[in-house]
Amino acid sequence: MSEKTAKERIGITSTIPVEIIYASQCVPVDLNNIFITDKHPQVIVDEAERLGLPRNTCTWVKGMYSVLKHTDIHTVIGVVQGDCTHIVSMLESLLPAGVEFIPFSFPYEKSRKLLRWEMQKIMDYFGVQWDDCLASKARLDEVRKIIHTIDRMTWEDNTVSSQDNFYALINSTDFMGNPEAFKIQLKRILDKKREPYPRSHLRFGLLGVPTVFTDLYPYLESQGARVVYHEVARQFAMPEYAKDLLEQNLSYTYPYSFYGRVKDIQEEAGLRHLDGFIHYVQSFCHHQLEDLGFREQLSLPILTLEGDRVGKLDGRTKTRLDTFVQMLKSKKRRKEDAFRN
Amino acid sequence: MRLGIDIGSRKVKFALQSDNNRMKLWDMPTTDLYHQHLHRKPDGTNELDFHSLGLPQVDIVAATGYGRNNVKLSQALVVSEILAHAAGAMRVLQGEFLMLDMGGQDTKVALVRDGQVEDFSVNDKCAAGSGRYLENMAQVLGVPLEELFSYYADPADLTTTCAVYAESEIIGKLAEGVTMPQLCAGVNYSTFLKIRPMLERWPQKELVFVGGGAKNKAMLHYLQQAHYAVVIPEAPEYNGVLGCLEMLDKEEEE
Repeated sequence: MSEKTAKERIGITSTIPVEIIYASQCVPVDLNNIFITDKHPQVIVDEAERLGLPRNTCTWVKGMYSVLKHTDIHTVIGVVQGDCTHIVSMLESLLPAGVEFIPFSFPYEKSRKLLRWEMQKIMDYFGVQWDDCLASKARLDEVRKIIHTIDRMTWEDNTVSSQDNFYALINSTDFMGNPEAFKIQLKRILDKKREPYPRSHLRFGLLGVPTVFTDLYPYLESQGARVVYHEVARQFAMPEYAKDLLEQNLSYTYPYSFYGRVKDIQEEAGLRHLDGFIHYVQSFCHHQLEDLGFREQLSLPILTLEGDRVGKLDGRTKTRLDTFVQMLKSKKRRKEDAFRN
Repeated sequence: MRLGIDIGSRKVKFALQSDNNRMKLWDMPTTDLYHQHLHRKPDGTNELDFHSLGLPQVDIVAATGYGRNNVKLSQALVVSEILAHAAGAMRVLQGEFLMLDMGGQDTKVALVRDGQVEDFSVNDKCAAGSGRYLENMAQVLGVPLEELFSYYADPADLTTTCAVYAESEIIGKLAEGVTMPQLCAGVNYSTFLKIRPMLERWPQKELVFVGGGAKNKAMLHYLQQAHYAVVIPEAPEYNGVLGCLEMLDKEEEE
């Protein structure tokens, strides 16, 4: 190991081959998760604005910025290609404050050679070898196996809530800094005994980045709908986890071409018998442009929701959700009537 | 006796349907409803005060509009306003068409096919293309809203996307000597430009135009110029509340 001390917390701005950090005995911390699981996430965002970040910057970036201002995390691996276009500027602005910024890129052209080089760069930084990383991959794959079981129980058995599904998937970016403790949390989800959700519930796929709404899932359930597919969060959990480390990170769809994501979405939509998609877009995020592509490429109905500040669903967003749910239920009823007749 | 109520951001619209099928339509400012005609119950829901509204006891109430979830009327069947507006539009056109509703803060477009909403689109995070924007601009220009609605020729080029900043842009243009009719037309045309992408999501050209915004003659001109075959129902601002009652009928049939 290089200059890093064991157990040092290393910030990450998005999913990276986190096996490398675990191999080094350091602790990965997804800055997004620290921010959104805080008791008062919006206070954190407001603080970033007071410190000078523009109002028209994505909430996730503002949240990470504030987190870095107030924690003991001094080293950050920032994903500079394949995620957010604001990361470089945000992390550079923290260099004078003593934050060390290590850039990591997922090459757009999905080149093995380039990705291997990027991973090697991070391994060299931490002073670890490929074999060390493969050992930590085996450790993490044990946890991923449980996450994928939870995901399957969500869409196939219909016995896991959208909220628990999301919790399991989203925390796979950093395994909450402690894979064994995370495994215990996941087993609690597995052990929850619940009746399957009614077959009449609409089945949605949630596309795009994680939302900042705090009550989306209970609200959808109150309307007779649930999310049985989290497109991006599922990718964080590396559904192709059985392959080698390099292959795993090439199979991960989110950082590469949009059309790779579309292919994955189409396959999962069929498998999971989806009724429609909710495409979540964050205000001021470049991913908003992908809405056009989804509408061109996907055949199921799509509702686009935009969120800015962290909090409960506002009246206008509820109106959209209500209309979408009612529209799809009425379509479904007609289809079933036509089939019966 | 049945009452439909459309709780909009600016006005509440009422439609009272008597047992002999006569319809009475009226409106009031939304704040009056909140302050004078609701009883708050311990469970957080509200009850309409029929007495203070000058109404007899009504059998069925159906509510739609932006405020329907906030107000939580305990007596009412709640209907999404987009579906209510689409149902209202189906009173005047059948088959496949677009429904455009220009309300106080929202502009909504729905694709209707064979009596069903197939898809919809609503403006988001910005009210620049809505009725409130037009009201503000009329005030800044010192003309009645009806007069603003009549100008469409030679529109002044307004570049500010924000409804608030557009006020100072207009004042600047006045100082440059741009004429009042050109500025009014500019306000209308900039609104049309914000709505057009929402319409062009679907290739359909048959259009039912509803909501208070349907009284905007300039908007009608621009829509027709863009080859839309526009139908405007009588009393377009009551389309949502009438559609709400239509949906009650449908529900009863089912």
